[in-house]
Formats: sequence, structure tokens, C-alpha cells
Amino acid sequence: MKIRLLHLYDDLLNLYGEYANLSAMERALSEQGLEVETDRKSLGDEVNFSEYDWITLGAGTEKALKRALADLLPRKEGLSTALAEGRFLLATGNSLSLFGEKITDGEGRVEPALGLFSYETKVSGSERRLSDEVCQSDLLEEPCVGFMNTAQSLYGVKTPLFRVRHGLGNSTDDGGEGFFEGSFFGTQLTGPVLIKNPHFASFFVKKLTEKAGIPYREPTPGYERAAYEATLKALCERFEK
Amino acid sequence: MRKFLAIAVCRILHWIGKRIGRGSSLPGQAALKICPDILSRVRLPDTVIAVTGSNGKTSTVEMIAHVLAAAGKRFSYNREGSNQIEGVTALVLCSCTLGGKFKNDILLIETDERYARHTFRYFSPTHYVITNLYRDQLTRNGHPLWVYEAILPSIPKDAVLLLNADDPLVSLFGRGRENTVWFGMERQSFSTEEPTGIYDDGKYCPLCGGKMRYAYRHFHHIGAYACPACGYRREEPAYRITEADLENGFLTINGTDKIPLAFRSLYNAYNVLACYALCVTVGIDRETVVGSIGNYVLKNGRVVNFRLGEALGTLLTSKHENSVSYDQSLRYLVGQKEPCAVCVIVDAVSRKYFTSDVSWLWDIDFGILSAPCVEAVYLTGRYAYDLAVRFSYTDVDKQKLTVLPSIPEAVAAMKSGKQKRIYAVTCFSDRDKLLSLTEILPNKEDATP
Ligand SMILES: [Zn+2]
Repeated sequence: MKIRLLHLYDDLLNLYGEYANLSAMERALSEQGLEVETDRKSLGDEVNFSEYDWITLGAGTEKALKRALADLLPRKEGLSTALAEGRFLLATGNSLSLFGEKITDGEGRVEPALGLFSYETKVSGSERRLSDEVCQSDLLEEPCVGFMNTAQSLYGVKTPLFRVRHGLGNSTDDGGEGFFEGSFFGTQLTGPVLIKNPHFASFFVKKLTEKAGIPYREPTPGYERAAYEATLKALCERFEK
Repeated sequence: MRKFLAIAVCRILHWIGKRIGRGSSLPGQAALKICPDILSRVRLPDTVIAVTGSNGKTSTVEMIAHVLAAAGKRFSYNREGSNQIEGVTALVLCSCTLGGKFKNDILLIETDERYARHTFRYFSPTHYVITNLYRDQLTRNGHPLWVYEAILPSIPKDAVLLLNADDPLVSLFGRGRENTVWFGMERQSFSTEEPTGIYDDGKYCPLCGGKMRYAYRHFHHIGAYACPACGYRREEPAYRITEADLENGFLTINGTDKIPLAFRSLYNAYNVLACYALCVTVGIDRETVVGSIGNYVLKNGRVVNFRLGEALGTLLTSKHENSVSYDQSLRYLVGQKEPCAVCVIVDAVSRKYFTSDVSWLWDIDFGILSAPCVEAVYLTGRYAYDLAVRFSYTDVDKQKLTVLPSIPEAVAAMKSGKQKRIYAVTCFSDRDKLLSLTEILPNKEDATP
């Protein structure tokens, strides 16, 4: 069976090396013996979300995110259908805000977002929230590491993807980070989240092997695992000293 | 009275700091505490030059200082590491009489791009050079557009703005503005029509968001761009590199002024160009500018030659969290076409702050090292395994890789390696961890060995 991956707004929301999340998935899926095909779609391109098994989009500038939102709004129905069909979507960085109710920008203007989920977003025009992160999800056996680099805060998240162990959450006084519901997964962590957390990549790979009806084989631990451990150690030393 | 006190305290603290061999932000800090608007109370010279941007600030300022000295000007300038308001305050006050009169003809300032608006709250530069805006230290800076917004309020209306015409984001500062001097590079043999980096920050127009078209690019988003949607395009530069001959090591500016390059990288070519444009603009005659840049020896130690056992090494200092800086170093060393070993060290991401973020490795085009002249690659430092993962997604032959987090072990392995030529690529934060294990060689006239 062929697994189809989509990098949405690959040339717009790819500010911190998010393209590598696709690289991680391609490699891990191939190692399971699955055939993988990746598409890249951006502003104005025709897209049928239901053709894809796994979709991702990353972080962008505040301006770029607004343009992605304008492009995505008329496609809401297709996206919503794809999610209802159980197609996986991973939104990283500030792209998570696209799927909530509304976004208040740095100048205080309120714009409706896709409205697929009930949280809302406030963007600061002057302050960024920057921090290394260690966070834990009930879906994963081990913590995730990463970096948050955003001007936005999320409010009203009922089902966060992570509990923050070190670093920042969805908003200042919120111990939760990210959001998940059904086959939708969102985190404000930026960059190659799945490279830095090979077990998070495995989580999706397991789901996709299940879907393909083939048995999941544990990957042989490579440098990815050693890199993850080195970063986790560095962060714990830093935060827990 | 407060003014007098602030100047006196600043100078005393500065003097003490110098005696005990420690520079710090303390003298400036103390002065600002005594008199927060001290910078608006001193009498500054008629020429105040500021240089900012992501890359090349320090090198450009050092080079400008060299030319000013050759032209017989009396000037003060800040050295690297003191480019925020405290450092600039100390620089200014230590160059003032106790009555608050600046003693030299020119004040030359390297300013941190993110804090420029604080530095220039109480005084304004008369000449303001902006070199480029790249993905640089994003864990602090957010992203280039965020930095653009931070610089914008620091630009005074009546200053002469000197801008890199080849950088679409930097050029936006001069849009519809008078008093702007543009500098840029014409198409060269190495210019390409397609983007060459891992990512493309020149894809969309920074003004309207339309798709940009490039007649040519020199690297990344640096080149001749035009936006068909809104008409935003590269300005015709007044100062232009008409020929950049990196192989033979010289530049020609405006078709006539030939300048030898102390370091043969494109990167340095832009620093020379910015320096040339600024110096000519402030009235130094071209002959002096050309002559003095020509005999300029890189002093800031970005390139260091060393010996390791039988091998000759060159350290190319590259900024962590700055993919353009890394790409330039990788391109440079591959361009030398000598069989060599390459050592990449990522141990402390920054010497100024802590982060474990290595996302920036994914923006670096490490695939450049798949060139046949690169016979071995040593990956070392705390984040050696992250480097190894990154390399596993390039065409660099796995057989050539040695992955050792311990820097001494990696250096020992390199020492017993076959290659008699080594290039090391790492940041200021990590380079001494290598250099301390080698024999440092004196810099030659031409930094390229
Ligand atoms: Zn445009």
C-alpha cells in the first residue's frame, strides 16, 4: 500500500526547518516496507485533502500565517472531511492557531480562523515566547523535547497534547501545550519535531502501519535516539539543577 | 551635574575594568542608571555612523575603522560584544570630555539589530548601514521579518541610509525614501537563476506577498529580484561589484576600482562593498578607500590557521544558528578543491545564552560536503548525534563520517587521520575547544593559506 504525505504551505510555513518532519516520516515509513509519496502544496494550489494519509504544516511569520489562513478558509470543508475520515494532521508552531475559532493579531484585530476547534489565539505585536521545552503526552511513553518560538498564546484548549514539564505552555498560566482531537495533533513546538523526537514519529508510523494492515516493526535505534537522549539530558540538567 | 557624574563614573569603572582585564556592560549600565538620557546630553560629532544587520556587522565596522584610520580621521568605535545600549553608552562617554563634548570627528557604532531602537532613542546616526537580514539566532530573534520590524523605528528620517540592494527585506527600509544609498553586486559567473539553499526566503515579495522573480541570485535570497504583482524590485545600486573574482582574490567596484580580497568569500565581498560605499559617502577619497581596504588584514580572527600533527588546519568561524554563515564556509572550503578532512563542532549553541535547539542544522546545506575533495568528516561536540542525523539526510558518504561527541577524541582521531589538510567549521562559542588542542599559526597577509 502506498502512503501519501502532504506538506502544506511548504514554502511559506517552513521557518525553522519543519520540512524535515516529512523527511523523518518518509524514512520511517519506508523502513516499514511501505511505499511513500510526498506532495507539496501551497497558496492557490488545488488540493484534495482526502487523498492524503498524513498532512503537516509548520511555523511561519505572522504575516505568512495570515496568508495561509486566507488561502485555507475556502477549503475548510475539504479539510474537515479529511479529518472526519481519520486522516492524520500534524500542525506545528504557530500554524496550530489556524484551526481554532479566531485569531486576535498584534494590532488587536480579530479574524475568524477555520473554526474546526474551540480554542482561540492571541498574537503579540511586541513580545515573543521563546523557550526550550520538555513536555509529556499521555499518548507517548517518553517526554518530547523541542523549542517554542512564537508570538502567540492559545486560550480555551480543553484537550492539550502535552503537559509542560519545562518551558512554556499554550499561554502563560497554562500547564498544557498543544492540542489534539481525533486524528488532529497540534503543538506549538517549532522545527523538526519528529526528527528530535523519534518516538513521536513512531507514534504516527504505528498508526499508518495499522491503517495499511501490516505489522509494525520496532526500528533499530540510530543516531536519532542518541541525539534525543543528548538533548533531553542537556535540558534536564539545565532546568533541574 | 548628573551628566558630569554619569560620565565620571562610567570612565572610572571603564578604567578599573581595563586594569583588571575585564570588559563588561557595567560602566554603561551605571551611567544609564545615574542619567538615563545621558546620550542626548552629550555633544556628538557631525558624523555618526551605525552598522547593523544579521551578518558581517563586526567585519564591516573593523574594515571601516581601518579606512578611517588610513584617511587620518579621529574616531571612536565599539569592538564586538558591546553593541547594545550599555556598550554604546560606555563607548560614547569614554570618548567625551567630562563636560560632555565628544573628542573625535567620527563616532562609529556596530549596533545589535534587535536593540537598535533603544540605542538610538536619545541620539541619531547620520549614516546608517544595513548589511542583510538572514535567519540568524532565531531562538532569540524570532525570524527575519520580526527583526525588520524591530529595526524600523530606529531609522531616523534625515539619516543617510546605506542599504544592500540585493536583499529584498533590507531594501524595504529604503522604499520611497530619499537619502538612500544602495550597494549591490552585478551578475557573476557563479550567480544562479534558481535558488541554491535548503530553504528560500526570497520566494515571496516582502511587500505584497506575491511570487518574486529573480534575474539571478548570488546565494539564498540575495540577488536581483522583482515582484510582478506590485512592482517592488531591486534598486539600481550606486556602488556595485562589477566583478567578483574569488579565484584570484579581487573585486572590481563600479568597473574601475580593483580591490584585493583578504578573504576570498562572497560574504567578505559584501563587507568590502558596504565599507567602500560608506567611506566614499562620508567623503573619503576613493584612492584612500581602495588602497587601505587593499592592505587590510583580517584582524577579527574569524579565520585561524593551525597545525595538528602533520596536518595544516584552517578554522572558518561560522555562526551557529545561522545557516547562511555555515553555507558560506562550506562553499568556501569545497571551492579550495584540496583533498581534506572537515570537522564540524556543535557543543554550546551560544556563548551568551543557553539553548538546546538545533533546528537550524536543517537549514544548512551540508550536502555541499559531498564534493569529492572532502575525504573525511568529523562530527563532534554535545550535539554530534544531531549532526549525524542531519548528515544522514544528505549525499555525504556515510563511510566518510566519524561521529564522536568528545571533542578531544575527535581531534585525536583527526590527528591520526590520512588527510594533511583540515577545515574546521564552528562558532565562537566552540572554537577554542578545538584550537586549544592544536598549535595556532600566525595569520599570514592573505588569510587563505
Ligand atoms: Zn510585491
